[in-house]
Amino acid sequence: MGNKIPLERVDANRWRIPRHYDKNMHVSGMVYADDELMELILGDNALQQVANVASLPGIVGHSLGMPDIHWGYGFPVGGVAATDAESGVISPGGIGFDINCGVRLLATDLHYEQVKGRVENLADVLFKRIPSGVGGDGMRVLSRDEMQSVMLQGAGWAVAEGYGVPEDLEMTEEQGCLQGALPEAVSQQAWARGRKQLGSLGSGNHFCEIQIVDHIYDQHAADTMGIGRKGQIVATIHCGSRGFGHQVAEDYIKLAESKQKDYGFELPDRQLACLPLQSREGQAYLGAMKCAANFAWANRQLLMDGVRTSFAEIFGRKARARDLPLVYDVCHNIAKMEEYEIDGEMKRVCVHRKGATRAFPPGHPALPEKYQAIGQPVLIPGDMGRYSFMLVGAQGSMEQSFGSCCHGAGRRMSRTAAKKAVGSKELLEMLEKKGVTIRVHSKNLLAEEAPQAYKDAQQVVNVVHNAGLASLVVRLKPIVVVKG
Amino acid sequence: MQRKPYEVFEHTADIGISAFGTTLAELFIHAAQGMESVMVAPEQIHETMSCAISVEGHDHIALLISWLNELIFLFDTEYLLFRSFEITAITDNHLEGRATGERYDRERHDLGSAVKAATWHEASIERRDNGYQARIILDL
Repeated sequence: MGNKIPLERVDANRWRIPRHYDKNMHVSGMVYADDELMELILGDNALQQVANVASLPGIVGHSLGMPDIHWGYGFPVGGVAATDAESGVISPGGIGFDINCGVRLLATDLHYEQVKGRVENLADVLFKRIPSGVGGDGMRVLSRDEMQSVMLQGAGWAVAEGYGVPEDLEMTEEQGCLQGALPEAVSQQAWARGRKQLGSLGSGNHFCEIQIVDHIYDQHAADTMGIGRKGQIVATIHCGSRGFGHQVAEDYIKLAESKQKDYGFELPDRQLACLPLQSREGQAYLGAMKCAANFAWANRQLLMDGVRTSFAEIFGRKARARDLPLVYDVCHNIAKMEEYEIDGEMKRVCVHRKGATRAFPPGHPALPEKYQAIGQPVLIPGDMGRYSFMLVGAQGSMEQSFGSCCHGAGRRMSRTAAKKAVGSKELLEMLEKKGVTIRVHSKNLLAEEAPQAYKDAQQVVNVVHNAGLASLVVRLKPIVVVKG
Repeated sequence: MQRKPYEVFEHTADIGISAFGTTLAELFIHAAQGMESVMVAPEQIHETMSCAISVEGHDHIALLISWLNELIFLFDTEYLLFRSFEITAITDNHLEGRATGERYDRERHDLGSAVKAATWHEASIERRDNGYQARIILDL
């Protein structure tokens, strides 16, 4: 499918889609992959989507594809695009439905030896304490005033309500709150969807995993993060803004779509519909998106509290932040206003990260003091059978990719194909053999997330490491997976 | 040959439905049945309660996406699954209808996939000699 597209090899890890490929492209495309990953990428239409994104008005630099790239709606998943803050656009589809879907990792001071006899027990308690699946409410049903506070304050609201400690905020991208949220730009439907879902995982690829530190690539960085002991137990939460973010995205994609003619935009895919950043509608979307991003941070804060409480219940700890500190929280579906040097000039741009993670290098002013010397922690969940990774942002990301890198392993099979390829019973047995304990509401949904449905995350992170966007710190192996 | 009211197709990202209807109203009903079937097989859904639905859209595709998203909204907020649909009024920009079904029950309903949104990606409605054909990709 994607093999009609001319690809120019730049180096071992980069491929260019030349601008002349399509007259609508304002910039060229740049895709990060080695030979093997490129084979997989050519299996779907993701490269055409990289080219389509290059037609967004006001796009600067390159339309970027990370090595976990795969076919999405409009934007590819694993795509990055920066648009000029003054003359450019914002595309709600370029942030995605699950606004501020992201990952956080917390460390424990436990070693696998202390946990291995109680894994089943731990899995049961996590499953009980962390609402997941469909058809149930979250940990906290919100009043109208509370909902408004969540939209405006994000994770800070959750901490003020007793879910966690102020130190958690310091270890969260943007301190867990984007300033400038506009609750008045959020529809009544979105309010209704968010009200009952705070503190819930939902379904799909979201999860809570207990993992062990399995391999250390960079001892100094791992020690700085407090995850430098082989066999150490950590917990990862992957979730976003639930139905609230979906409704915000739906509302504004529909609005943008209805305005394309008025703005004189002609984009190759209706899901790419966009709004000028400086228009009233563009600013309203940005304000609504911030509400959803803040909701997602509060959501992960509540879920983390559920993990801490579960550990306390099993291991008799008080689950203080000191015992289970938050290492870092990153988002991978978001738009951010940031500054980069483009053609020798500092420019303010709107960076769309659709399935891509911020990866700021050492010394970046947005990083907490703790990480100034090593760079921003970058969490890359793999699949539930193999491994996940922690990296740190590197200087190359500022020069090449608007401070961004990959976000996961990336799908290689559709959800339907995954279900056909492996039965849920067979999958559960396979995971059990690998030493992974699973708790899941819907076995059908579990098969959609089978390890073989994903690319090898090791190959993906090797590419971003070798390309200088981020560098490897530790590899993590799952022992407990809780899903919807 | 009788056209199938709807079919579910595979897509790298997720899943899609293609629906057929001799009229626009029938097309919308079949698309809704197709989408609900991705979640739970229709024979498992009892018809115990119904909801009135009213949506707007700037063209037929916008209207279809809004109609499907409204059903997803009702699943996400009230946990409602639907089996049968009625459309009482439909114009180029407005739809009035009713959906009948019941509340999702984890014990009784075998959930296939949880649909989170109807997308605009490759969305189409085509006029055919004998009716309308639509394709919509769903976000799971």
